[in-house]
Amino acid sequence: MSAVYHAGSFDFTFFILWAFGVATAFLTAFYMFRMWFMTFSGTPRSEYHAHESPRIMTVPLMILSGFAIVSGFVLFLGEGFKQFLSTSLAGISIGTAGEPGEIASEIFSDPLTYLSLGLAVAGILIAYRIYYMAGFDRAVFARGVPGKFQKALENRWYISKFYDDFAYKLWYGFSVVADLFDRYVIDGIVNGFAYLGAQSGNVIRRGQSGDVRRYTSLVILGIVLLIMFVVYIIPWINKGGPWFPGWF
Amino acid sequence: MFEGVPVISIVILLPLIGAIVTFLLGKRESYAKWVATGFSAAALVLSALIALAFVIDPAPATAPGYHAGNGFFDYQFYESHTWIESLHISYIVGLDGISLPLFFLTTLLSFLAIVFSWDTKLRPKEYFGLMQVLEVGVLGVFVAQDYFVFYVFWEVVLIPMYFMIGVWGGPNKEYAAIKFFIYTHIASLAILVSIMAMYFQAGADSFSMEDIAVAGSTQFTRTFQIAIFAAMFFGFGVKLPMVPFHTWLPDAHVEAPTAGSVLLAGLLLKMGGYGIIRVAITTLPTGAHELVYVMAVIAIVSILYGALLCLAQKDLKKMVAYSSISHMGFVLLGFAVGVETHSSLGIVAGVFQMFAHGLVTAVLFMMCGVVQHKAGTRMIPSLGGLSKKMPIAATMMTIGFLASLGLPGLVSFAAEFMVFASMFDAWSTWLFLPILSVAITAGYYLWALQRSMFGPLTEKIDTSHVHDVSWYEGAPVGTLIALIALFGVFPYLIFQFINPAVEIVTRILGGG
Repeated sequence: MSAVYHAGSFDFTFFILWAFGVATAFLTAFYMFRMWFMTFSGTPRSEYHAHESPRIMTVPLMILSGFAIVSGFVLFLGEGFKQFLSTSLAGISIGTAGEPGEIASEIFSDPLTYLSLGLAVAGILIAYRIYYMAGFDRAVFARGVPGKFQKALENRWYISKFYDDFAYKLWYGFSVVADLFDRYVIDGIVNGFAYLGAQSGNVIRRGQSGDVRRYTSLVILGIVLLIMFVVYIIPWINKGGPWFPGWF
Repeated sequence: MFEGVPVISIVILLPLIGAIVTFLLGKRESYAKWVATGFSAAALVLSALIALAFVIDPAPATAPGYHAGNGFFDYQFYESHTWIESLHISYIVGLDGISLPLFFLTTLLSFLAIVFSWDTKLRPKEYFGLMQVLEVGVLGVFVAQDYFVFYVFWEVVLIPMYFMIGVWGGPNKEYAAIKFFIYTHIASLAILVSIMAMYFQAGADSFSMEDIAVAGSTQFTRTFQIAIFAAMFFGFGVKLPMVPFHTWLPDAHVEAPTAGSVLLAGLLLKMGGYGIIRVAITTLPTGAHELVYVMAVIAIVSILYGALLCLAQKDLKKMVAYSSISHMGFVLLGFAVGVETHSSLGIVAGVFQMFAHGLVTAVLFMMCGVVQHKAGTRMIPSLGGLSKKMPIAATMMTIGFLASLGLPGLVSFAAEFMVFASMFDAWSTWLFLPILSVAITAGYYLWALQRSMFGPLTEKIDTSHVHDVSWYEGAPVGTLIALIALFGVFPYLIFQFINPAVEIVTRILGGG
């Protein structure tokens, strides 16, 4: 965090990021303790009789909380996490190697540390005042901030609604249109060819009149056309017709 | 192992003998499934042994039946016999790293589809016989190295599939069967015309793929290559299928019986991709270079458009059918990238995607069949909460859907990720287009899963008789899921076959 704050002198964006971080520290302290006070203190709000969880759940929780308490103190030991990081961040400079405990002393001499600590404590105290001590009228939250802001908050900034509309209405709409296009236009053309074939067969069929004289004259016409093809067209193609010379 | 033994021919003959025996069973119809299972299992075992005996490294010259390809592909287990001398037609078969995974996939899926159809009551003799004929045809396509033999096997595949849809299909089966037959047959004609044109233009007096490719490298002009590549691309692309020549596929799948769909999507679509890489790109490299943008655009449109169509489907099986269009688009995209960059990554990814899609889509169609069989309908709005009635089926379906949407650790992820990676090399930021499909794909699969398997139990259909998977349904799906996980974690097991063969493709492309 402190590094981000100091980077603010290079680019103002980093200062904004730092402000968000500190505000989040305050909010986290507030909501965590709100949750704790509402869960474990005060009078029960439901009929259900809570009981302690079985060993299989508490033991892993104890191990995890043990590490949660202890792990912060790694900062006071030698170079802290730096040694672990330096292997995976090979090539990225993470500052000069310091004396044991140097990081910790750096942190405690920086006023910014106390600013975020103070904000966190303030968050806890406010949560304590609202959710532990009696006499605070929580209904004031329910009245909320009137106007559009409240509505936007209630709808989670409309982000979920945007997702739903985008995925469902837009893309599903596209797909339904594509499906109709596929069925009626593309497949319609395919079936149109089939229909054309069937219909032209239906027309040509009428030529099969059973009239032998007519058949004979058609045969003779066909022979004449074939002879003309062999005598005139093929030599023309072989002499360098339009497409692929030398096919015949 | 297999020194001097015509082992590929034996694998093709096994289901052929099985089919003949099945057809001749007379009144003993109940034996049909046992005969079919036996012969397809034998073919599966033999093809697995071939994969084990296949020499990958270092010098395949020591491999059994090695044949050096003279610049074209090198083959192992090569067999060459003159068939019709006056027409220069020979029976030539061989396997290389591109065809071996598909060859194994064919024997695997055929065996599993036969087991899956265990309770077929309607004309079992004809059903199991045709399944084996289909296996013969697909196997032949993947091993034939003579255009004439290739085309014969290619056409053999159509007939059993036509009857499977037309006899054992759904309510609109006649329409779907005839549409499938005519559409893919027109595509076959484009291939036949191309083969004839190449035969005459090459002037090598041989239908051997190798002879035509070698002669063609000097005989085929640029214009000729572009024209014939376009025709070949259309012919194989219909089978793939690519947008806009895909509309036979959803109709065929919706009406086909489950095992028919498994073989149709798992194997027949691969024939299209296989033809493009084995024949079109390698024999006509200049044509491929000139039309690479057509390939890429069609691939990306297929990927996105297919995924978008899935989102709108109410029939579970139709959704899976459209997802095949989207996923086979990745195959084409991988090939297009390979042509553009002359690097093997994209082509290896395309071939691997064919293998991966074969495994995954078989699971999906089998699970659609299970839902249809147990719940009586596949319409998503009528389903819901089925996981309470069929927990194993719901688990298998979830794994299948996750595999298909490219979950890391499962087989499709390796393939699709490689296609994306190679595409970035070729066209950098244009990658954002095909990568959009990842979101759409996750969307339609998870949404379908949520509506059909989870949530409150549906009241629109009678669920009191809905049971979990039967053994003959669970065992094939379980086998496939195990393989999906195995090759997802160790894709190298397949890459090691594909890589050396694809290097030949890139060499041809680099020189073309």
